[in-house]
Amino acid sequence: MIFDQKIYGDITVLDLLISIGVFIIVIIITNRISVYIRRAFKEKMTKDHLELIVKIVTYTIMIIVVLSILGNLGLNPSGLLVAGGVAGLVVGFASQSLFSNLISGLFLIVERPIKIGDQVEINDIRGFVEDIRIISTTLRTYDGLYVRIPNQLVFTTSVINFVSNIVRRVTYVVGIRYSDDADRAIEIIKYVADQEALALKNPVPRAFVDNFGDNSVNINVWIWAPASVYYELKMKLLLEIKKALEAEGIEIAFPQRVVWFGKELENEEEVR
Amino acid sequence: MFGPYNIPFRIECNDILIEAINEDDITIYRRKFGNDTIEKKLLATNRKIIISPIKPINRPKKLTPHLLIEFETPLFTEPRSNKKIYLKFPVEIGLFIMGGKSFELLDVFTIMNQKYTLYGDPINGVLCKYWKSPVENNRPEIDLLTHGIMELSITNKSSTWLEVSKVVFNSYGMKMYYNQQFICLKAEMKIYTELSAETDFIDSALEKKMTKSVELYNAKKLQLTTTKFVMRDGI
Repeated sequence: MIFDQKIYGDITVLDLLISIGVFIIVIIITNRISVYIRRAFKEKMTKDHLELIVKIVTYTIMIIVVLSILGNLGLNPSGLLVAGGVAGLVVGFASQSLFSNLISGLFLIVERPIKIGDQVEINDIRGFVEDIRIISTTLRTYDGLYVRIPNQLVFTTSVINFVSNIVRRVTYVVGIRYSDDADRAIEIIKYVADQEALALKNPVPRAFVDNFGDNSVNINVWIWAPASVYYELKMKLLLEIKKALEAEGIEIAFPQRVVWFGKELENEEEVR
Repeated sequence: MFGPYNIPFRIECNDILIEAINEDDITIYRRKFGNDTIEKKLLATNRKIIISPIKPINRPKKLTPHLLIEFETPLFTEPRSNKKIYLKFPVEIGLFIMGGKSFELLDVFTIMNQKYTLYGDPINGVLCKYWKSPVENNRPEIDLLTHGIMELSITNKSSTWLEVSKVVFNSYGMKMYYNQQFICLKAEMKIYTELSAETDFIDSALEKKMTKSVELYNAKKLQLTTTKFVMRDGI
């Protein structure tokens, strides 16, 4: 029988097939367990914590099973480490980058500068953190692209986390005409902020004349918003400010230039 | 307005219209308030809908479980004292569809203006739903659809006079009761220093025979270890 044929030592083809079968069954069971954990704890913890728990459980089961299977196949893992010392060195040098990504991934999981679902900028790429794996971190950019970034890069480059703090400031510069009443404009802007639910009461919204531009009086507007709805508020409020100002006869200034013609001046002098 | 209703029914109250009508084998649920209109089709007939006041944390978005009530007039509390005051707090109106013993949230709305605020600093602070309330010695008059009455027991455990201008709660512990006259709840605030206090809700009504409101978020269901809130950034 082919199943009784020995591959090495006392290990037969049947032993190998059984090990492969067990491995496949364990993969299926592990998947089921991870689905169950996600379903059971979905509403009880953040997605980030949930994914961390799923990973720990999955990797632990897989490591135990792999070590058991190796034992059943007559391969002693500790022996493998010693025996494969030289080969390990060669592979180690070859997989230096892989190893540094792995270590970086572990540090990222422990230090947690970013979490799954956060809006971040890493290496000039902006988007949502989709997953933090052992080797790489994946982002979904705002225009829907999948970006995979090696963990070593995430760990060594500067990372901006837009939602790490609970609140974030929306900043506008509203330029009004020199002929408009700046005090009234500030009053209107503050009123619009006060009427908007997502614009925080504290820190207090601020609006002040920042500088006199070439074509406009520039009013700086600082409004704080919950970080998770920052863009929603930013997109909504500027239009509301414009509408409210225009309703009161205050217009947003645009660049304009008054041109004086020399000939006209001469004519005017002649008329005089 | 609050309580269970057998489908079909129609309620018109102030500017609010709520109706649920049977059409063939489905129920059509409609709710109008100002420009805000919602319609849903339910694949069931002859069920019950419960209208209940719920915690004011769902509209316009569920961003935080915390509620900050700022006092219109700051209070001075004497050392080692305990006093009761009455505040108004905002409520939202929840509509739950009932089937057997289970119920599910069908709709939630509010007719109050909404506002959020930050308690503490932008790094370690807490996002809160904001409300400003007068401070009363007796139960204030309220509009049943917009406000509830909070009986707040303030205990100054320190040895100095302290000024209190706000109180922050974790709304997961909020236990509201209602009848056809008013909505109420009881809460407590233990002040330790001018910067720190601890708040919690008490599961008790102001009068007998009041109905407990339906709990959308239950601390026990969410497996929270505490419903208290520790104020560390001023009172």
